[in-house]
Amino acid sequence: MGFWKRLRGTFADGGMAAEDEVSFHIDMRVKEYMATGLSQEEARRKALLRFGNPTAVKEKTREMNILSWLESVGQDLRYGVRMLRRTPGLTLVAVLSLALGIGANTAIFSLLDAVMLKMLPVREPERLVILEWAAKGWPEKLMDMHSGAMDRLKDGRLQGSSSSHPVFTQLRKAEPFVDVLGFRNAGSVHLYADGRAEMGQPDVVSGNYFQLLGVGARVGRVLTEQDDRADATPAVVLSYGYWARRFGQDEGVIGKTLAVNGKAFTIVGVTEQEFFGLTPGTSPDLFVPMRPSEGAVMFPPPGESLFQKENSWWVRMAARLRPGVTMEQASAASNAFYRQALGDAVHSEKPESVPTLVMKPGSQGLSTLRSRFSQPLQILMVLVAVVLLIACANVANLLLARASARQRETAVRLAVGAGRARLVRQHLTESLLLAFLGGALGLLFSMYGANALLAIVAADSESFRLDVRPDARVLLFTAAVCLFTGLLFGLAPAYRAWREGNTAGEMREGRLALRRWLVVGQVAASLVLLFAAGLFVRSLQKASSIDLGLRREGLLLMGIDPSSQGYEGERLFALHERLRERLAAIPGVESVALSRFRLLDGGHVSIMEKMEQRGSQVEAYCQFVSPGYFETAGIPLVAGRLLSERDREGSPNVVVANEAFVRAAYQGAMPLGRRIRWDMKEFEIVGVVRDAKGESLKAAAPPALYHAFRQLPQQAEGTVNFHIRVAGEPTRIGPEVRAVVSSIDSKLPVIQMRSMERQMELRLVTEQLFARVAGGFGVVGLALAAIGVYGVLAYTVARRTREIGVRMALGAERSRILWMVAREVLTLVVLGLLAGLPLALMGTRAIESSLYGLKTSDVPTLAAAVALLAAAAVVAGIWPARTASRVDPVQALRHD
Amino acid sequence: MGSPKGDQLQGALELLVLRTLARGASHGYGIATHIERVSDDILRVEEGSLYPALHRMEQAGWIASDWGLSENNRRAKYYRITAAGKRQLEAAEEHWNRVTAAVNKVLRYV
Repeated sequence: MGFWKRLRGTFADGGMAAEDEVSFHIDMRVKEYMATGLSQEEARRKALLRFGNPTAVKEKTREMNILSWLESVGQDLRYGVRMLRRTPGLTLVAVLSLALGIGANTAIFSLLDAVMLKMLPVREPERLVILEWAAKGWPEKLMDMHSGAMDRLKDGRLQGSSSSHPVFTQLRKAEPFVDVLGFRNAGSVHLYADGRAEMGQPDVVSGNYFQLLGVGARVGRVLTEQDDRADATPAVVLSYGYWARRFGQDEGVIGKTLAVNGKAFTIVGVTEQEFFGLTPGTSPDLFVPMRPSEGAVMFPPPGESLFQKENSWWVRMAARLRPGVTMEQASAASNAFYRQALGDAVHSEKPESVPTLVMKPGSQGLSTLRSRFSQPLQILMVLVAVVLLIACANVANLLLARASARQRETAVRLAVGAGRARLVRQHLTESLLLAFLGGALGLLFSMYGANALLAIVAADSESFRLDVRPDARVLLFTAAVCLFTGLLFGLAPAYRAWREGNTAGEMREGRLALRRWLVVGQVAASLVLLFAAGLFVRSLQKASSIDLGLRREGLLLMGIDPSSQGYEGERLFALHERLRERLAAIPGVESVALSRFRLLDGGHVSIMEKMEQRGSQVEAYCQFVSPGYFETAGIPLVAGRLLSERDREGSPNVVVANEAFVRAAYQGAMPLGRRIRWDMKEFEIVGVVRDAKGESLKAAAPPALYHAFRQLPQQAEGTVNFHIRVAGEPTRIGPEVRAVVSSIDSKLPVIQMRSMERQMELRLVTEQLFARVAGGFGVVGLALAAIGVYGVLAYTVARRTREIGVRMALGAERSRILWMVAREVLTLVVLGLLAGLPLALMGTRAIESSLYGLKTSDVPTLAAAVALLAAAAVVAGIWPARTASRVDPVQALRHD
Repeated sequence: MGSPKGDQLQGALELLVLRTLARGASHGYGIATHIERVSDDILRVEEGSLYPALHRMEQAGWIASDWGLSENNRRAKYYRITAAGKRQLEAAEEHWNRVTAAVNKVLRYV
């Protein structure tokens, strides 16, 4: 007999099997005795006596081994289900609050899992390392162009993501690596196939990219070394997502031509569905081999090649370690190699500016997402854990209340010989049943929740793809949470059942005390939650009303990329002018200007030299603008003049600085007429404007210099951004803007059109996430705590009905009765607040760095949280208080 | 799950049950009365031991059970011996004979 069959048999028998069998036996015995002439009662008495304790036999019979144990669990479960069905209201409330708590935890965890824990879907991701570099000073002799990410580390060192192609080629031969792959997240490109144009995101990759990662093709083939040659037929591989979106998963695309920025590429394959490149959170639409992409996706300076130039650093690298080689060993072994690969220029570089190779684990890819969201998600994880605790306290309270209603049943079960351990187990089984029911519903909630969270997180990126479907880890997490919560809130009733087993029910006062303490705990936890939520909401408010240094209302932003359509030189500027004129003619438009970088998108940081002081270096953001830019953006002039139509090629090179630059470079002395040197040219500072925020809203505006497009024509290539000042709601004129662009050139797609307000919101994604999620859960926590207060009060009032009746019969005023209940509410709330205050003040210290211009000792927020909680408690207390004050003494004295 | 009683005693009850069931299927009461009757009421089966023993043996696969109707048309659980049970019966019987023979030897040794 197979295990399963036996198991099934065990359950199929029904829990009453042993009982039936025993009663049958006893009945037969009774008959036997009656046949000898005994009366029925006498016979039954004797039969029972002879049989011994039937319940004990039953239990003993059951608890024989694991199978019997399973059977008794099955019995507990059936019993539990019956109990839960008997009190549907209570079950519903309990399951819903648990579902909310567990769902919230699972949702946040799914996101955390996707952002921090999921590995890249490649072969042996743990042996993948990302290669970057770090140096104390700017390696100016070695590098004059760096494309990719560059950051200042905490220790003041500069860290960059990219290397030159010659260095990449050299490193591929380094001993510790199986091989090194190169890639680059190129900006948007213009794609044209089957008569349809659109913008797309390519990843430029080396020929060995797919082989080294171990990623295969779903359809066709992936790229190989043969494709990464200057003389190869240009080939392109589509990502699964783009293939599905753009071509409806048509396998016939293989062999078709896709024009990338006008250059013809043949589609040779589609990648596997799971693969999103090496940067989780982004999803390239296509993978283009490096060499054929020169001149189509990547544009070297005229007459040069990105593949020979040692000073152009643009290749991001990832390597696969040889088996048995650790990252430390590889790092030590490859650094000498790296230094050599940098070439002879190393010797003329200042020693502190010579970069060293830095290795990072590549198993999860390189994600800006991780660095941006891992801390916020961890904070949110803690917050939702608090919500779950409050929910647990509520369910524990409900179960305790029900346990007192079940006192009689418990007594009967004890009397017929049920073991205490068995009773405790019954309680725990019911708790776990509730927890897993809640968990199952919570898992459903979490799928909506995780997608809603994703929508907040992914707001600023149209190509954002993140897999938040629950994986095994998420399911395991949810199961663990269910188990934990079930045990947690099941402990109270189980403990009570244990004690009751000891002393058969003399526990009334103690139990109520336990329930009161649970409510006090809830109030304390809610205060922490509400205070944190309040801080986040106020922080978002403060951040949204931050002075950007420009007029953000009524401003529409829109990008275009005319270079992708072959516009250059005078034709390009003519296009700019025509667009400016036509856009300005749209009714409601007040002015139009364009710039290289969008407001709040930052720009590129460069080093300049003050002419008056040789060798002096100043770091500044460079922006390139058309005439009318400052007027349109609403950045006020402080001194000198703004850039105008007269500032063009041939006229003296001029530049406008912001106040931050003046402070950084000239200690605040007005620098009009001073000269700086940048990009081998000299510029005269002709004006100073007010600071406008850069990439970070939190940080002070960085030093910035504004150049005129016409004096640096090469800066107008690639994507440029139009800023349109509109009277009224800016997105209203969106359709007209699109119509104008397409009437001038139908092949020009409009890129990321949005209002300035929206552009700003996108800079506040983390704050939005915090404010919405914490705010939402603050409300949930508050509601749960209010239910808790209500429950305990209603129970107290019901229990004291008789006492209240006596008091009223003896002439107590209704107001006194009301006060009696109110005092109870007050006690609970005050105790809760006293416990919660230090917790709130200490606990929120961890989030101080995530707040805008707020301290965690912010008194108004704390006061608001306290007031809100107190108000909720009062509302929760009203109903029981009314019930108490309306007690009819006559009825009450008859009670029970 | 060890039993507080000695193995010998348990072994004896199991042996008697298997022997009884080897004659044909029976319910617990039937097994108990059969043993009592055949042994002229010398062996009284403790119900407190019988049912746990039946479940233990069922789980060991020596016996199987079905619900059936008793002589007086009541639902009762009928136990029957399985092939494994028959093998166990042989082994147990042999063991029992050896043990009783040994005990007899000791008793006869004067």
